[in-house]
Amino acid sequence: MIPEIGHLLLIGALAVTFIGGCLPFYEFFSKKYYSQSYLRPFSVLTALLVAGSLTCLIYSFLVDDFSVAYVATNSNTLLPDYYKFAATWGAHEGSLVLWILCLSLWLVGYMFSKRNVNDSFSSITFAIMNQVIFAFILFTLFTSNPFERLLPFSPLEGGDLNPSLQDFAFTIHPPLLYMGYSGLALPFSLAIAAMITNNIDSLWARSARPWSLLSCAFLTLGIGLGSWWAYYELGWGGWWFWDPVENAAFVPWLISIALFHSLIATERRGVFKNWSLLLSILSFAASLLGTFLVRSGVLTSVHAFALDPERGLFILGICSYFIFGALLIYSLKNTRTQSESTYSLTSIEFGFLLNNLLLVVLAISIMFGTIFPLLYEAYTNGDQVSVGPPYFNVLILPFAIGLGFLQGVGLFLGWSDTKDFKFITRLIIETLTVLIVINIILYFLFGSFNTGSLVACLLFSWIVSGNFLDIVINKRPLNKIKSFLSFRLGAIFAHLGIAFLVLGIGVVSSYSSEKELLLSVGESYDLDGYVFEFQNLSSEKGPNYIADVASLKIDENTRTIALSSEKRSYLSANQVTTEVGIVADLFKDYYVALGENIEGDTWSFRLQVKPFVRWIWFGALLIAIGTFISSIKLLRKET
Amino acid sequence: MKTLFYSIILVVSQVILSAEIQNLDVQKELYPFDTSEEEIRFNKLLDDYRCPKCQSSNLSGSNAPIARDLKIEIYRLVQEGKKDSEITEFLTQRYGDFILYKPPFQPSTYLLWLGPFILLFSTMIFALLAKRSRQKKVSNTDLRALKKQLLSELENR
Amino acid sequence: MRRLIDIAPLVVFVLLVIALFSFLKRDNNQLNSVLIDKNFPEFNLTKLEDEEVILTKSDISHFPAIVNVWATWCITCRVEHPFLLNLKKESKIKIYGLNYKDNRQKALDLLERDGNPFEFSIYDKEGSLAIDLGVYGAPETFLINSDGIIKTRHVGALTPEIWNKKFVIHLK
Repeated sequence: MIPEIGHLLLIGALAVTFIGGCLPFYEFFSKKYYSQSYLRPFSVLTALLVAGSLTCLIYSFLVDDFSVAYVATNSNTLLPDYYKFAATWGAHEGSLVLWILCLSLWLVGYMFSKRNVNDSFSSITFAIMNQVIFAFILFTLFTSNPFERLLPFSPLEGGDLNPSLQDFAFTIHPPLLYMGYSGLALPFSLAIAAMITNNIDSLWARSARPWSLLSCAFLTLGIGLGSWWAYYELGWGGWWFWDPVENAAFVPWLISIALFHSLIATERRGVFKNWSLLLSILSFAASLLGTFLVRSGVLTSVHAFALDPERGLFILGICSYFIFGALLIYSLKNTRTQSESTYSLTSIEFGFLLNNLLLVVLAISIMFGTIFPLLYEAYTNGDQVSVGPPYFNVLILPFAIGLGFLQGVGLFLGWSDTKDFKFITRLIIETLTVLIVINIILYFLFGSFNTGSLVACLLFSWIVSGNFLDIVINKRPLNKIKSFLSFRLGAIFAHLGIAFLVLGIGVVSSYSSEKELLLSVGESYDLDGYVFEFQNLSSEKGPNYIADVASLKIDENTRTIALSSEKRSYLSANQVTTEVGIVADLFKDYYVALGENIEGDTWSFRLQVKPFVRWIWFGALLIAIGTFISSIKLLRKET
Repeated sequence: MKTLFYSIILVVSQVILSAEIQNLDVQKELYPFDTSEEEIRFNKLLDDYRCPKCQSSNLSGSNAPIARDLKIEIYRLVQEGKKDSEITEFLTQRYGDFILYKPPFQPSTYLLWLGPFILLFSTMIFALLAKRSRQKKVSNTDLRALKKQLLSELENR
Repeated sequence: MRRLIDIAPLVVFVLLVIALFSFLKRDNNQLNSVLIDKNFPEFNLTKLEDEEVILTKSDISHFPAIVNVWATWCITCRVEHPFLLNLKKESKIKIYGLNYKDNRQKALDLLERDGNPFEFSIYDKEGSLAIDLGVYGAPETFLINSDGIIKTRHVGALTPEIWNKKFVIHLK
């Protein structure tokens, strides 16, 4: 009964969004305005219907209703309740409902962020958002209905939620990521509305800015959590693999960053209007294309969803409708929008332009690299190639250097032109100072000096000087610093986040050490001065798994640390996962993965020391905080 | 599964016997090397080759049996003093270019390797040109406005 | 010029969609072998049935032949076993086994129990010939034509459909 109610609620939402997607257009083109007071109630209604539907699905999981096919494949009675709850979005069908909920929440957010929605710009935005939601509900109902029943022969026991997804980070990673993905629909809708109602002005740019910032913040959190999860769950210590699924989130993230920078220039100076429009479309296109790549099964990937070309076709259809339509409107509309002002090569406008080119070319290149194996296979008639980390790491380096350079000087540039260039000498001095200090610290921490991290250290020093140090040193008195900080707080946080991220990446990739070993109980191994001792092995029983737990002791010079590493065997699907033992402090992680039992009490291990790896996620967190601050500030000013 | 590990142990023990044991810890390593350069090279190679079985992981991150076999094979080749290019050739002759996460630089991949940078430079040049033409246009309009203003002032006089 | 720039994104997008659409029809999730149209690699391994006998490439002497990579630990191999037995009965083609990273006694017991479709099996305990063949999982089946050249490779269980589609065309 409950699943049917959920199904009906979703159909109800389909009906509401259909009306919401058409009516404003009818009103706009016929110039007959009945009443625009329905916008807010409709958006709330949609959100409630979808939330109700998702609740029904969650309920089916909690009561183990295995007559529902989706529940039967992704849950079982042994699964702890918390994971039953999270299993709702553990696979394709349920995650789509969550996605739709995110979309409708964005719509509600937009509708209530404005004091007044009685204008055609708001109502067309509302209509486009409704069309997007409608398309996704249609996709869910026709190709991926989570409420489908297995009647009359329903199984008594379900399959399982993929064990490696039974984990805290993974329960909140999808909602955050989908919030980010779907949030890009809002700047997209605003851009279309601006083109249709002919409002391509700074007011439009102003209204799109907070939403692109917010989407970026959510994407940052989602990607960061995903990376953290991969690090401790997959058992080999990698935190980013340039997997198609990762790229599918990374590309929209890059474009959303380009977008909100470009929107600043459009709002403040009236430049880059076409470019901002195009980026708004591109960011949503990237999010849809990512969805296509992940869910159609054209690319094989670690975390790919169930593969089904029919779904791929449907997503491609959705993508074509929205993006083709948007680009068509764009190509017909935009010639009339001419920028009003000029800028020099040393202006902040030009800085934004370079930043945008770097980000967008990088995003396109990553997308191209991701689908390159498919193109290659089609073009060469069946030859297969792989494009992976060693390619993307080479690709991203020059772009990262360029973007890092811009971040360091960005805050000093003026609109239209920069008059005072004294900051450059100050910056160089500060950068060199920080660089020397950092390297002395690194030398003391690791006892050696590695040139591999030099570029990262240099970028770190440059960005920190330009975004923090110079302000503190040169903006005296204190109240001046205060006002400057409060004005630029978001940007400073986000840029510093990038700095920490870059430093973390540089240090962890050049100072890590790793060994694969065979150890018997009682034996120890000296890895770069840290002595790992395998103390004992015990068997433990979890709610739905049994585990071999190895206890280790790590002997540093000054202290000893206990650590345990597990190998879990899940009962229902007979899958094995590693639960890595990690002990983290500010400067390094000890990372121990338990391998196989060779014989008797001898086990294989993979020991790693990963310095500064935390800084990567700390940086991501700072970026998210920075973008949140900026968007909240913009939203509060609006009301 | 166990036979696999015995074979690993076999290889390892052979190597250990052949080399003089200086550090007792070396015995416990699965892939011991005489020099750290060789070890760094070995780890780098494992990172850059794709596991043919699991398809979404490199050899170093994979637990598939074939990944272990290939690890042992690469270990053997590095021990024999083979160069990176020779090891790559050994693998591609058996598994094709698919096994390389870094595609070779050849005519069919020129677009992949050079495309991004060509795109970046061409868009940058385009942006500069567009900026200049706009500046000209704006300054032209400025001049025209100035002319008009002067003319009207003249007429007024 | 201006107009052209405005339309460019649209054109690029249409091309992209066409490319993506064509990817959807792709049904090949197998890794293609690079040994196709190449000679079968040399080897020097013992015979499964008799560890005193050393086999080399010249022992695969009746062409066309198929070489089937199998093992007792491989579950899918059990699925295709009846097909191989049937093939041996109904076709003139010779089937050679490559026993892959297995236990000799277990392998012999299994053949005893389920029937032996192979002329003989090469006992590849270390998987060295398998690596030379680019094997990445059992079962795999290679077809060698009358010139001793590998013509096709299939990864996974053989079925009559796959046999007809991928192998029969090379036998004429």
